[in-house]
This record gives sequence, C-alpha cells and structure tokens, in this order.
Amino acid sequence: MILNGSGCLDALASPEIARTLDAFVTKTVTPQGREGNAPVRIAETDFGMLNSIGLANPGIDQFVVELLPRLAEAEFELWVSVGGFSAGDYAELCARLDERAEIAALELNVSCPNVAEPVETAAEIVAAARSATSKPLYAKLSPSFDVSETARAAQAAGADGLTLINTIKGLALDERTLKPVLASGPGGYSGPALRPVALAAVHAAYRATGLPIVGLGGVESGRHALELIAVGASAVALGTVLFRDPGAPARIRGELEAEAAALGLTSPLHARGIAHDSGLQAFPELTKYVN
Amino acid sequence: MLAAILREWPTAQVAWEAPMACGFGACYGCVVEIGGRLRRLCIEGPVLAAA
Repeated sequence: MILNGSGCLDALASPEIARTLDAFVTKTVTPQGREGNAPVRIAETDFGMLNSIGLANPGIDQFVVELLPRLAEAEFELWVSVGGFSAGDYAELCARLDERAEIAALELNVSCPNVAEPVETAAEIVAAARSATSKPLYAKLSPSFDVSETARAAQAAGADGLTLINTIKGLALDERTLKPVLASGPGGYSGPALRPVALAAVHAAYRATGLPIVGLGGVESGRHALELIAVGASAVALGTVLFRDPGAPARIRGELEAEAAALGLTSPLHARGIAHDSGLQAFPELTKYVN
Repeated sequence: MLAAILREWPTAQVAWEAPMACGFGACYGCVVEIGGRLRRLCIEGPVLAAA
C-alpha cells in the first residue's frame, strides 16, 4: 500500500498523481486557518531539503465546506491529517470529521517541527482524539524522541496505527552571508538522509507495539520501500521524492513488486517484519535466494 | 527596487522568484508576500502584480 506523506501532494491540484496512490493523505488541517511561516520556506541541502511551511492551511471550516466534498469525489481512499496546539484542538478536529463517511482514517500530526508544540504529550493527544472519533487513528511521530516509549504510549492511548517518521530538525546557512537560509532559522529535514533514521524508528515501533505502521522517510525506490516493510511497515508513504518525480508512486509500486518477486515472495507485505527474525532465512523455501 | 518600480508603474507585473520544492501547488514552499497576502508562485505566478 503506497500513500503520500502529508503536505507533499495536493490531490485537487494533481489528481492524476493522487490516483496512482492507494490512499491520499491531506495536508495537515488545523482548527483556524493559517498563512504559515514567513518565506523563505525551502532550502536545498546535502542529501535532502529543509522546509518550514508552518502548517499553512485554510482551517477546518473551509476544509469541510470547500475541500472535503471535492476530495470525496475522487476514487482514492482519503486520509485526513489533523494538527493543533492543544489536545483539545485535536479532539475538536476529530469530532468534526468523525461523521464524514468519505474519510477512511485520521492521522494525528503530533510531530511538526515548524510550529509550537502542544503542552500535552503525544499520548495525551491520542487519548483526546480517541474519545472524539471511532475512525482509525494513526499517530505521526517524530524520531527525535524515544520511539519505543512514545509508540507504546500512543498504542495504550488508543492509536490504531503509527506513521513514522516526520521530518527532523535541520538548518542550512546561506553560502555567502552565513545566515540561515530559512526565515524561521531551522526547518524540517527530509529526503534520502532520513532513510536509516526511518528504518530505525519503524524497527523500534514495530517491536514495541506490533501496530500497523505507515513507514516513510527518504524512500526513492522499491528497494527502499521493501526495507521499511522488512523492519515492520505495513504501508509506505512517499514525500520528498514526489517533488522531483511525480511519477514515483507508480514506479515504486512496480519496483517493489519486482523486488519481492525476485526474492521469491508472492507479495511485498510477506516481508513485513522479517528483519526482526532472520530476514529471508525465515522462509526455508527461499534459502536458495539467500545462501 | 520594487518600491521604485511601483512609483513609476503602479500596475506593473513582475516575474517573481523563490526557492520551489514541488512546483505543482502542494508544498506551499514558494510563497511570496504580495499586497499583504502569501501567493504560491508555482501555480499563481510566477508573473504577478508587483504589489
């Protein structure tokens, strides 16, 4: 199952790309509309990029009235990412969206590096959201804290799944002036540099919880997707790669199936979690491929 | 420079530039402030009014 990372694709502006996903995740919506952070918001760096958008979005009222009906017309499964500045914000957003049948799942963005954090912990936010909706709830976590502990706490608070990882904090300086490139100073670092960070986080979360996991972080090929599945992801999301290759979902799906087939697996998901066991040696009938 | 352009040509349009990530309206990375509003250059620009 291939999704997009929240904020990396606009299904209304690019429906032809969204159609190549199994599920589309919206940009994070907050209770009030937000212009977002001051520009400059984007910087290229080694092995990836920085962003500091600051959750620009029209707010839940306009989202429900104007965007949701148009998104509901499309044929992809719809996930809505919600964010806020207190546990109450998340509960309010989830309650508003709970009755909307067109929404398959809600993702709680509790890990945006570019805005002020709620005072509550991720688990307290999950608990507040849980009490407001019966929809599947995925908690999108940061790898910058103890992933096992946060993942376990999110599970205990009622999360149905986890999304790992969000961007990590990074900073780039202007070549000439030595001033930060981004107006906000630091931003969220994404792209290929995150692959090993994402693998470690998904590995830890799978071991700690066994929950369904949307794995993301620097995926650019079917092999990268397969590795996330091997450490425990049940779905894979694409983020930064979409910016330079909008055809990535279809390409990576094909590559992933070919990677799995080359290993003798009938489905990529048969590789889920095998990194925790003995890798491909967990399948005695496949030992010819590994020995 | 923009202020000078606006003095001479109040209705001038200019080609704006900003670092751009997605280029198709998704990431809100390439916004510039024009007339108090943030506009995405990739799908609203890059040629927009100077103010």
